[in-house]
Amino acid sequence: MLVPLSWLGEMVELRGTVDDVCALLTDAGIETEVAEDARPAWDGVVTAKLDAVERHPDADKLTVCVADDGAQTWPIVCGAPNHAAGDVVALAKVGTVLPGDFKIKKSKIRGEVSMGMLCSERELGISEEAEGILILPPRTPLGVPLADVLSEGEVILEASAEANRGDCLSVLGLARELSAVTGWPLRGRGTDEENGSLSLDTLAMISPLAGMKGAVAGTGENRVRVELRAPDGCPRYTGAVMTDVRIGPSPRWMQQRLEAAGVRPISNVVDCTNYVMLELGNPLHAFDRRFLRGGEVIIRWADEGEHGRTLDGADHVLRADDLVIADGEGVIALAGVMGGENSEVRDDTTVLFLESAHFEPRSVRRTAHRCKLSSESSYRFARGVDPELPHAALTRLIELLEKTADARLDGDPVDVYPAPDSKEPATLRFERVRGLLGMDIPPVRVVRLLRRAGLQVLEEHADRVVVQPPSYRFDIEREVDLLEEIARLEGYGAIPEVAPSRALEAVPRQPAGVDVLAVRAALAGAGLCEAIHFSFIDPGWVEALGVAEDDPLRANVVKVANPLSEVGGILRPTLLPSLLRCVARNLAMGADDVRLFELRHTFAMREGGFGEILAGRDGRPLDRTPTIERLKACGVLVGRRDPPGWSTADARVDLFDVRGVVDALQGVLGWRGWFWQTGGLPPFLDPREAAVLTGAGGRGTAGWIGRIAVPVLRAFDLDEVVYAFELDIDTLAPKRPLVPRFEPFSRFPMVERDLAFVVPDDLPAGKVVDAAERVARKGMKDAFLGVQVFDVYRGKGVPDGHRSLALRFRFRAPDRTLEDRAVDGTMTQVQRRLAGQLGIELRA
Amino acid sequence: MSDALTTRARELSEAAAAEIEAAAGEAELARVKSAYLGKAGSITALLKQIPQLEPDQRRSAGSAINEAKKTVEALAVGRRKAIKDRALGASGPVPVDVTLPGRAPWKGHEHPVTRAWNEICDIFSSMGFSIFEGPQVETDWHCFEALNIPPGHPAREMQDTFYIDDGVVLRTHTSPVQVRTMLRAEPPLRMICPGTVYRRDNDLTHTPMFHQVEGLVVDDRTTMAELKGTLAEFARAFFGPGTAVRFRPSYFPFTEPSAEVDISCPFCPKSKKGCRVCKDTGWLEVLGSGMVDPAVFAAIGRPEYDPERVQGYAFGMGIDRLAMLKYGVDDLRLLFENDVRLLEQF
Repeated sequence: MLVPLSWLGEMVELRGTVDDVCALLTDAGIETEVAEDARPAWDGVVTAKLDAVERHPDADKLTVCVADDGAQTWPIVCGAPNHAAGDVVALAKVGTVLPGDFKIKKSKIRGEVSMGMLCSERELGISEEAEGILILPPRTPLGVPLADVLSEGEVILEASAEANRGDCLSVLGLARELSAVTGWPLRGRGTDEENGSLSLDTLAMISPLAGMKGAVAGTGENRVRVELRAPDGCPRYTGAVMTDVRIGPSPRWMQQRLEAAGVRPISNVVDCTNYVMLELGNPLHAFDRRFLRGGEVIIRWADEGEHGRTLDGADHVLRADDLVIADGEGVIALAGVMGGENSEVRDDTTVLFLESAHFEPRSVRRTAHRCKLSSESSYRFARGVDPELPHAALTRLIELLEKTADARLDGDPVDVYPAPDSKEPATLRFERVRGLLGMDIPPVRVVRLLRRAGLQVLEEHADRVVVQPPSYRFDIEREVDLLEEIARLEGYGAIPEVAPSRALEAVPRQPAGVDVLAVRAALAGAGLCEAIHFSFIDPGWVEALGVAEDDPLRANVVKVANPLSEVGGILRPTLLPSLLRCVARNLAMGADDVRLFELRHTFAMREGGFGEILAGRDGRPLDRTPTIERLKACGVLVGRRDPPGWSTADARVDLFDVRGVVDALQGVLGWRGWFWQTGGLPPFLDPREAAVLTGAGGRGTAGWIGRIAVPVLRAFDLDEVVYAFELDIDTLAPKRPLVPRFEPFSRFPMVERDLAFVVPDDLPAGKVVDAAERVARKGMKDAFLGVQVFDVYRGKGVPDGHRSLALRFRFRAPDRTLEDRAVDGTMTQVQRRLAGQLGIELRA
Repeated sequence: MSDALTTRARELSEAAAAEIEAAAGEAELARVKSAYLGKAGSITALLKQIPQLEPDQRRSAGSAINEAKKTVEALAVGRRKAIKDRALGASGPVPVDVTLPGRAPWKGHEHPVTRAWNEICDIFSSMGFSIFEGPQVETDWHCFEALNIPPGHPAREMQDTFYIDDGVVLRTHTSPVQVRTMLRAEPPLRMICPGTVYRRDNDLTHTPMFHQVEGLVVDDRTTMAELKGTLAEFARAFFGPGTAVRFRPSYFPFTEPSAEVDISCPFCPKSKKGCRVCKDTGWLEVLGSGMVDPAVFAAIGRPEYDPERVQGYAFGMGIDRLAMLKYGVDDLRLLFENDVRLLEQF
């Protein structure tokens, strides 16, 4: 909210500078800053008295003066004709920069030293008056900044109140708040008769006519019958009829204030309603009496499907929980949100019906939100307006319309207020100040702070105080609300910093479940950079992977109902597309090698959707996770295998580089019983270089590895070979953290044996190794350590369609030195069995 | 016969000496040694002939052959050492230019958000806070209603929400994890919940997805002064020992009293308060906090959380913002563009 400082100053005595006001309100939770400072730049211009004025010895038109700023005297040469000894003037000292970038320097004018300048109004930027210097009133204090004695230019503050402080959305509210925070007195009466400043007394002037359910405003043919049918949406409705209205512009002072507050002046009637709203906080509306069909104003809930046309020209289809103002025939305003086009004040309006009501926040919020209308009025009602304010606001509006539109009140104002607001008193136990806030504030001071905030003390006991919050403080109901008020008024700065009073307990660093830190360390350790992308993506990105519509990735996708754009339409079912796009972008930016991983959740709908979870139990939803969220690790490798350098080979990454990354993850997570298979590959992988990780015993799949197929590369604007993997970490991670267990090792020597087999290309190395391992283990029992492929060779000596696989076997007995004979026997067995089972022979 | 063997042994030993001396590498040396002393070696062959000699000749021939064997073995040992010495002392490509860069493997990096996330968790963990995580897709009840934000509450406007369905949202804060924890665990609680959150907002200073760490302490005695003390401790650990903390009144539906928390700007030069980062205020707004509103305890609906018996505090901070401040990233959106030129700096 924009508030001209002069307006605020009419309601509370400002006993500090602009900066003080901003800081004090900000410290109290209402962030306030200077939005506009139209005060002239007068730094260095002070008031001074001329002790002497004498003719310049060397120039007729100049005088040599002695100016006294209260602390010191200065010689000044001046060319003005209008000053005399004893005058108080504006002295610009050496170093001052006046408007127009005019810098004051020490100078010598025809032999006389001048240490500054006496300013004219034009030089100060106040007016065009340049004939003589500015002469101030005789008793003006000396040596004070000129800005302090000349109220030139407005300062506009911008204050933002929290959502629960609707009472601060007016000049009055801010003044009240500033007074509560500082103790500066509120002003009882305005000081400026010309601009009709408010007398705060009017607030208490008119007592409500309680208990009436219907009332009639105006007389004769201008009568308006007010019928309040929806007191649950509108607890209070006041109104009045005014005649002889002359529509025209509002006075200049009002327009200036409205403009300063960011409201566009329209006409005297509209401006007066806005002015009172800004001043007191109660939104108001003026109807043209001519258009109230049947002379009726009915406050009721809309009929389902009823139409209402607001004065912005928009037509709204209403629901039964929209509160409307209607006349005998239909909707004339959306209550508290916006007036209707059909009853708007026009240039030829002569009779007004004025509305000053209290609407419930919830209904205003609902209607404003649904009709996508936001107005100064709905903004205030949505945050709560003082229910005791409508009558005072109406009175103030009538007063201003009498002054600015020659309007006359016709008959009595009406006040329909069937069940006057009654706030419950609240109790504060003094020990809670220390108990909850940890502050030591004596009870006497606690009570004083509460009083300053406008709370009325009903009872005061040794251990507690009972207070009545004012009607405008809806945020104060409970003891904690009072505690907050005390902390706020005492100042949060007074809260001490204290160490926890409860004993420290040791806790594990890692949340229960997957050891994410270890997984990430393994991926970064493999030389991949971590990326983080948005969880929502374009559904087209999944289609671009070539995934069929009935594939779970698409069939179970989680859609965002209100995405920012199509690009955020779904939650990622796989991390791959984000990374492919990231690779493309990085390559386009000039990167040669891109090695990325992402360790984030993917999303899928549960079977049966949200129904069961939302239906819930005991009036709230089930605690089950609404969608299936799984932690995935996805990685992509593009470019060279080793960092480029003078001494590294220029090989490109291949499948076994990604496989190495995945193996490193297995080292960390230690999964068992999952096997790489080449059946059932996802469509985005090149089937010649790809595999899925399949669980034994029908556990399904937990990831894939491979080279991205060319059509997918093209769909993602990729011009490089991409190897990638994605693993379901939630599935593969151990249920309990892996704690290494030491296994004793042998102290006896190791024996190694190498065998090379000629293996046809269609026989996977994995099968050869598995078979060799089984035979060797059977022969040597616990002395068998393992077998590894250490060379794959094609070429001379190996027939076409075959390669030579060289296997290295390692043996070491825990309790003895192995005999060559035993090892040799086992190797012979291996050779025979592999020939028998797989039909492969040793390489010659 | 015996003389012949003796002579032969000497000849072989001399020939072996020459070959050993000439052997250039370990492999060749092994081959030479094996040719003389191996199973089928020539000196070994002489030894095998000894039993065929007359008994009185065996002694002298045996000693000569053994002598030859020892000599060859000793020469082989000496030669092996010489070869090895040379190899051990050998230099790389000569001349070596030590100013050329080394050979390094690819280096991986954690995302700056992860780095800040972990650092924040480490600090709170060391202060005895347990770490909990929860789902990103939440029910409206867990995300709002249980936290004293009924439908239509103005606070919902402060957190414009992505909806999945009626009653199902992308969480706008990690507070629902606190709700889930309180539904499961008894007080006292001292917890933080880091996580990914979403708000329907996209401009220079807001991304629709970002990261938060929220904290919650529930027991029968923890005060707002302890909240201030704890956050000050955190700020000093994260930003440096000289960091000061300032509380300003604020409003959150789930805390009362509520406080906005500023830290003294760690980037201002020592000589003056105010710099570009803090927009010349000397303070940075980094946290929201407050004492848990009794209505939140009431919504949990468990006797263990009777608002008359428990109290505590909650706080929340943006990980992305803290990462930007700490690492000097000046554009929020850079964090999610994942340009390797940014990632490689962390």
